[in-house]
Amino acid sequence: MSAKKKFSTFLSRYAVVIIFLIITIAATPPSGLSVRYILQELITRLGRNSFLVLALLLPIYAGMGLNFGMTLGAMAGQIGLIFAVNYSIAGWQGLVFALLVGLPISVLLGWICGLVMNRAKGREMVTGYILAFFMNGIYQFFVMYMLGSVVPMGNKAIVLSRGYGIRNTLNLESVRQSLDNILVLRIAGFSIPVVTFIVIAVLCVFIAWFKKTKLGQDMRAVGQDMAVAESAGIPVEKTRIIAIIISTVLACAGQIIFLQNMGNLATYNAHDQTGFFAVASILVGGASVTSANIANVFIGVMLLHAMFVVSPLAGQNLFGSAMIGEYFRQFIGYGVIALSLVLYAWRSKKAAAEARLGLRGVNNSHNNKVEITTKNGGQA
Amino acid sequence: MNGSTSEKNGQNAQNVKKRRLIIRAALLAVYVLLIVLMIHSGRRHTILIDNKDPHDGSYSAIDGMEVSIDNQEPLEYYRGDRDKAVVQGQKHIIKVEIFDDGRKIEKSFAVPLWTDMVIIYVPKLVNGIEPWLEPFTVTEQLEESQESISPDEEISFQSMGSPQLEDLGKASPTP
Amino acid sequence: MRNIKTFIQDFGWPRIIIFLFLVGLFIMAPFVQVRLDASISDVLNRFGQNAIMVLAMVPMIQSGCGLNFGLALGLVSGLLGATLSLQLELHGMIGFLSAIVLAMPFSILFGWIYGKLLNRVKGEEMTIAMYVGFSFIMFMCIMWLVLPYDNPTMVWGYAGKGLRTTISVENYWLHVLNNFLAIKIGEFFIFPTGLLLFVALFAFFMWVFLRTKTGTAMTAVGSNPDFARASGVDVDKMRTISVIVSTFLGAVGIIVYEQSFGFIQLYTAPNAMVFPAVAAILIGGASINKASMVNVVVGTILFQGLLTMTPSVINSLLHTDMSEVIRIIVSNGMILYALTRKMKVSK
Repeated sequence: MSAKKKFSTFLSRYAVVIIFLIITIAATPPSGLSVRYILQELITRLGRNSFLVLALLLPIYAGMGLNFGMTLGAMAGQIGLIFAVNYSIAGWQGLVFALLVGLPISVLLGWICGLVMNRAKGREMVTGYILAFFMNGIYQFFVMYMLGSVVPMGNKAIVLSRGYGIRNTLNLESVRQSLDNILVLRIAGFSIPVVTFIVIAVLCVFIAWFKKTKLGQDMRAVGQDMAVAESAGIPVEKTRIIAIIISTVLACAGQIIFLQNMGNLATYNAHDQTGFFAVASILVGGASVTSANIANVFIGVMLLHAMFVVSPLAGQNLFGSAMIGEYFRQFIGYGVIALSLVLYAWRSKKAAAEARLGLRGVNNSHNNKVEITTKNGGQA
Repeated sequence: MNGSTSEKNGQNAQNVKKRRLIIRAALLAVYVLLIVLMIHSGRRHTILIDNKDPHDGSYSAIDGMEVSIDNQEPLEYYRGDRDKAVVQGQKHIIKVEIFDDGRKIEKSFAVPLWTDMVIIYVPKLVNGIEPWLEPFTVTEQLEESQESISPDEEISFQSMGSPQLEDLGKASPTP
Repeated sequence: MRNIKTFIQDFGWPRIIIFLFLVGLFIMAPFVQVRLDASISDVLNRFGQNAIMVLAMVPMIQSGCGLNFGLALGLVSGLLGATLSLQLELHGMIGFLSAIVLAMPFSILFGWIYGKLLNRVKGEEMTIAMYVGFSFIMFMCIMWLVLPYDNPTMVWGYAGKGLRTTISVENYWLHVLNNFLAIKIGEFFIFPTGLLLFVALFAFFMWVFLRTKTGTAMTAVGSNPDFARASGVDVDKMRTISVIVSTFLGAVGIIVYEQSFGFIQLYTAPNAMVFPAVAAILIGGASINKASMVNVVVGTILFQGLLTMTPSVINSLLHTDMSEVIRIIVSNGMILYALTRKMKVSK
């Protein structure tokens, strides 16, 4: 009985990872892609995306769920890049400049996000999601109407022909791969952007260190139980806001890293995908809404992107249609987030029910007798 | 006893506040300093290297030479040529090697921070005529094109038509 | 004075602002060469088009399942019904009604499964609903390509297989409701009587339903689940019923929309219809667990009115197309407002 239970718990915990592994491995042969190509893609994508996914860790730690509001940080980073291009600041200096410009913006946006989420406790994820859309509207307004008119843009080449507003696509060749190319390690035919990974490693170290600080411990307490944390004297509201601010700033930097690798900026839609990709990655890596660690980040990025690299071609070759492959990819993408969320919710309900059983001092094997009272799960 | 403790507490609170203020001011200073540094070292400029005969005939273009900026690849210039080099930062070195008499000339120069494009008239540089470096703007370009052949292509960024926005509530992002 | 104050508090400042903004737009219209009668006609039309999809939000809100971000499931059932009706070459009112009838089994099935799923995840319904909706739409995208439809007006001409992204209903049941007993005044004003009657009918059904035994039980589950359970109500069953009703209304809603709009929009189009419905009911004053017919009507008028008037007036005024940006800000802002309101009954 116990072994079977352990197995089913293991399955439900890692269901998403397992599903992804199976799908990716199954789709590799029909895709016609070589393992070498896939590995190089993975290396590149790890460098490109990990920072963004790491930005999600602290809010989960602080009990605020998946921070869909990280898109706000991405928007701040993009504004920073627009200014960097405007002043023709190239190379890694351009990236640092973009980060410095985006910093105050992301702090402000993160603060707003935190405030809003504090007023929607228990619904942070949906709220973050909608807030990202709302801010997108503000961002569009700012970049399409304010930049170039109220905010003078010296570089006329990036402004729309009507005189104000930024062009749809910004060529980032002045900063293209300037982080990646600082030091490139080429071994066994693979090309590895060393400095990018160093930056990511520094962030991991920072996060590990941060968890040990008082602020980090406070966040953990808030994440576990807000009421208890409050009575222990922790400023719950403020701590939550700080968690979101840090996450937003990290998202700002992460988006800059992402864009420098891509090489060009789709001014009005580059940030649309950011939240989705990051959240999907961390969930695929085995994280849940209330617990995530650094391993989840890297495993998740690798699995998710491996699947994304392989499935369009596999779909095309298997079903004879590139469209189907594309739709299939998105279907799995959204499906996996839905599945993870469902499994998580289901697991936490079971855990709560079992905790209640424990209180009643009933032996686990006599579950069935008390079925009726636990069927409705307690919360509305 | 009590009086001095509460005084000390008050004093401590003051110290903490002062310390916080100093740290914040310092952080702000670092922030501004970094921005300035980045602009200085990161700003890109285009240097037009000109080897054309001037309209007033005060000097003549050089028949053949090799010119390089900083550590970039040297390019060959013949009479009437003009090319460009893209550099970052303000201080640079231009190296000229003339084919005819094998002269090698090296000069360092600084580009003003907020000037995007400058033009170096190499014949003037070689013959010691000042000024051989000038800012280059679109108006000058237009003047030139009215007088003679149109200049080389300028740097331009890719662009696409008019902006399109997401439809309201387009909530399904495409990965 | 105090009455006005309580009225304002209840109604909420954001809604008053939106209402005043809308009135302002209407006043400005003639001054910027926008025809008032065409505008009013437009607004009425769009109201009718969208009202039932907004109505679909009510059952799930009442039963405590939150905002139905998974409305996509209902919309897809409607799409299935509509496409089948076209495939079977059904025209006119019969075609329209059969679309609804054909959509029914799908909506009941999807609603039932979806309801069972939501019951397992009480507390996190909204986020899950969103992603279930997205992935289901993607799955249907594959289906639209693969299912064996063969009506030439619906499939891609070249390959002869796979449905087109947009299918016209012009020869089938375009405007069958709108034109029913329509009143035409002048060249620009058409009062879509049939459409509005249909909407009123459904609103009436819902109103009645909420007062039946099942409906009251559903409301009880939403406002106080423990009390409901103590009274012997099967909470899960009520929630599932609310989801099924909501899904069915979503199906009807999109079919009504299509007959008015003139096109069946497949693939990823349904995504764009979920958020407007949510925004509309929230603008109408609904909270996370309480919604009424008034909310539906007021919300849809305000929201659709804004969506209709802003482009025409502001574009003529400023000679720029800011409408999209304003729509994004306003509609998402409203949803945010509702999400951050303190609820009288805690979750």
